[in-house]
Amino acid sequence: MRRKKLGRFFRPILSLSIDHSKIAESSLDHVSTQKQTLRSSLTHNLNLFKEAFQSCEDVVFREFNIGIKQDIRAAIIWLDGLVDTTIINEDIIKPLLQHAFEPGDFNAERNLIAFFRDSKLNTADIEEKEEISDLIDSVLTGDCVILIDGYSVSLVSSAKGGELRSISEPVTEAVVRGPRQGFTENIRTNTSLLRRIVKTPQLKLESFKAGTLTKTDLTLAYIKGIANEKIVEEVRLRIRRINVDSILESAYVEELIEDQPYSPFPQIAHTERPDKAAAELLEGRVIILVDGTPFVLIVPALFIQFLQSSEDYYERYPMAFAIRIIRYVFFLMALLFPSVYIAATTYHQETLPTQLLISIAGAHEGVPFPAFFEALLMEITFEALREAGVRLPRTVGQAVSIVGALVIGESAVRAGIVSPAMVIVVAVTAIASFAIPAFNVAITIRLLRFPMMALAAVLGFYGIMLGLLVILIHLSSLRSFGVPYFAPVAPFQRNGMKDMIFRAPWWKMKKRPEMLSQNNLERQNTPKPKPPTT
Amino acid sequence: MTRKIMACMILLIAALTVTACWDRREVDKLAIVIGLGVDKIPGTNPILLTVQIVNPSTLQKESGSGGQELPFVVKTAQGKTVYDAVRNFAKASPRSLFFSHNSIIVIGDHMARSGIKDILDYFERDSQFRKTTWILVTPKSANEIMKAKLDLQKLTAIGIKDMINEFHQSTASKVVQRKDFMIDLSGKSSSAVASKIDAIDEEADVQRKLEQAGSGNRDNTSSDQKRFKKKLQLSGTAVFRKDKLAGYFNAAESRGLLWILDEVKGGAVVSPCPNGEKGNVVFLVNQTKRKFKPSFEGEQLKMHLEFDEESIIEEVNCSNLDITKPETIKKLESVQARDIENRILKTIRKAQQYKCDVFKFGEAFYRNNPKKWQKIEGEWGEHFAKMELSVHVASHIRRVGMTTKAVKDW
Repeated sequence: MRRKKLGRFFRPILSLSIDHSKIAESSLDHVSTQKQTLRSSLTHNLNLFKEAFQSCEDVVFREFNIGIKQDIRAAIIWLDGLVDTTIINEDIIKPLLQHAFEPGDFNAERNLIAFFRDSKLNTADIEEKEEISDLIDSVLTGDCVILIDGYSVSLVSSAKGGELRSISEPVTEAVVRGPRQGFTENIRTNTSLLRRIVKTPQLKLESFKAGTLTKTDLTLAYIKGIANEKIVEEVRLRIRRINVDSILESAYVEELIEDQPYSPFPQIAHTERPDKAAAELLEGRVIILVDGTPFVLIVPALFIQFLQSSEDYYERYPMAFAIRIIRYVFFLMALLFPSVYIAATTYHQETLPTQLLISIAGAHEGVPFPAFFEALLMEITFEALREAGVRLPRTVGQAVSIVGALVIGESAVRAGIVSPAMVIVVAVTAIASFAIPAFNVAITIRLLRFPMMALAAVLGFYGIMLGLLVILIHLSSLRSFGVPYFAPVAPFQRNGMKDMIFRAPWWKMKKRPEMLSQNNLERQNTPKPKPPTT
Repeated sequence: MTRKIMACMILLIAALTVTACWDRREVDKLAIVIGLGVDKIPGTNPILLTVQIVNPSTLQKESGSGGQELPFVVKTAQGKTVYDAVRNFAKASPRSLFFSHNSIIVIGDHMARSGIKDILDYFERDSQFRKTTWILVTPKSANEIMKAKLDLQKLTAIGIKDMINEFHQSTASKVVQRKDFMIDLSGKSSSAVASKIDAIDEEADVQRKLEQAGSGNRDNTSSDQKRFKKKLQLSGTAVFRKDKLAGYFNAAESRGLLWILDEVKGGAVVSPCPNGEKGNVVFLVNQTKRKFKPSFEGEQLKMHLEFDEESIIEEVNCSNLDITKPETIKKLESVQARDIENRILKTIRKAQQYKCDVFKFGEAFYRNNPKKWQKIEGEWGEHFAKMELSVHVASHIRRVGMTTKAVKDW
């Protein structure tokens, strides 16, 4: 009965949304409705374009005459800002205008077009198109369309240019040692960055388009022979399944293709470092590049991957090992420290050393709230502070940190609202959550901290264990594109352990991780380095 | 299906929230007990409990007037049993007593002599009491010990605990945790020992002696201040026959006890000079090995004790003692061995007087011949008192220290 009611409640909304999408399709999408092609009349053709680009001030229609008698009308259409005007001027308009020919020289309809394409235009990428919707898409992606009167075919020449951000150091994944270049918003630049690292024709790049309005380019990159074909096929399938009006960031794609949409854990990793992306490719993963964002997606993602940083491989292995231990410890601290504090001070006082208990009790003297509420108050304040600090301009941000330090630190303790011990707990937890290299997992852990705190407040250590069990079971049952998320721990894989907490020296890691792909496992056969024998 | 899941969720949430965390205790609602004393008093409520409770607010910051106030409060309660007394605390206390951090249980002399099995049951049964709590017996009242103040540790009970931990080094008392005490009581010899703690007015004693030496200045402190001048001292061992206190070993006998229990490591042996001169040689015991050799010889029980000991020389106050010579070392070894033998024998004699086999000889006889043991088990105390004894100590001096010549000879 209840279900019926729910259905009644939701159906109108549901049907509304379906109607909405239909409207969107009919009025906005040329591809599905109009299947018009060019005609031989230039005026007619131009009118078609002008109709389509009504009130689009940035579309340029350049009309001119060509031929020895200057009697053939022609036009070029491009989108200002997306093209390189020098290319248009020097390599397209100039050859067209300067060449003198008799109109009688080209009788057959296609010949003038073919002549220009084959012998005159200096641009690299040129093709013939006649479908209006195709041509409109070409203009919108930065190509220029050349129309000549009397021909129902047009030449589309690539003249992509315009303002692009140059390659710069990745902001979110800075390293002390390692390459300084990061992906940019331009997908072509990004693929070139990958190509520059992995120089093999086995690096395959497959193009997709997604987003009915944004028509975003997606590129699937993988190394044939290393990547698991099944995974590649699965990724293709899922990308093709995307049906959305816009893709503004790779996060859209991530949410549309992940395995478990209800899990708090990210099942797709992302990076803006080409070297990291290349390393993932070489381990047999698949990269999805999305135009318009420097963040590329890495599938399949494993849990341990989020606790690794590219610098682990750029420092010598003992350092990497030590740093990873710290990371794992602080990962647990970020998740559990406040809840352990709550459990220990409200249920299990006997587990604390006597002197510590006495000082905690002394610090808690006069604090009006129970430990759980106190912790909740402080954690939420801290999260709010962090959120406020992220969005604010740098000049104002300083004010926030000062106020935050005063509110969280000094004043709250002085006023007797929280105990100094709790301030330390919150501060250490904050540091711990920043020690996790992957921001998306750090957010997950911060989120999970709150239910853990509630469990600790209700059931003590027992509750913490219950919560951990739930998380652990969830992690072990998760899959990312068919690969167990918690591998190589569960299922256990000995080979994978070489790059888990301990990062084995390079000459020891002879094989690629088996959990991703069984193809071409041999990574290297360098002998163990040693001093000269003489 | 969804209905079932919803129902489960509602039940779960209700189970977690409606039950209201019934055993939740915030730290600031606890009276953290760090020391507990039990005395026997006349009347209908024979058990007098004295507890030391931490007063956390005084420990919060060193600044301000915090230094004046004592960091703990001492509270007493009476009852028919220990738990009854604990319940009676609640009548006059805003916070509930929390025993998990209690580190010492002090038993008053009178209580100990009248048998402590009745009070031990509660400590064994209640989950709050740690098995590692130290058991102490005082010839005074436990109440007095609880009220005393230590100099360098503001919390007396914790100070006593620290003293006990240090005592593994200086060995003038056998310290016992509750778990070991219980094991000893239920063992074959059914005797147990516990450390003895005493409050002595050392200040007065020192003053008097200094005055005798002619260098004292008169003590002008008021009697009120003198209350805290009493000094707590761990020295000697209380000996229990069954659960009743039989008597005390003094410091020397306690050391003998530790020798027999093979726990003397790190202790010092002060022996007279081998050449009959006035002066001492002090050895630091590094390693000991002990063997019990029990034998049934008809009605007579015989016990032979073998000791093998390694020590280093810490101090030599004798002139003309050339410790570079092996003969001297031999002599020193035998002097040391005699000294230890005497001490051990004295201790056993004292225990025989009390008829308390605190050395676990009973265990050794049982292992030697379980059948014969069964016959004598009933009157083990008597048999123990009449036992024939022999002790042999083999000493080995391993190092003589940084100097070979005694300073006296310089």
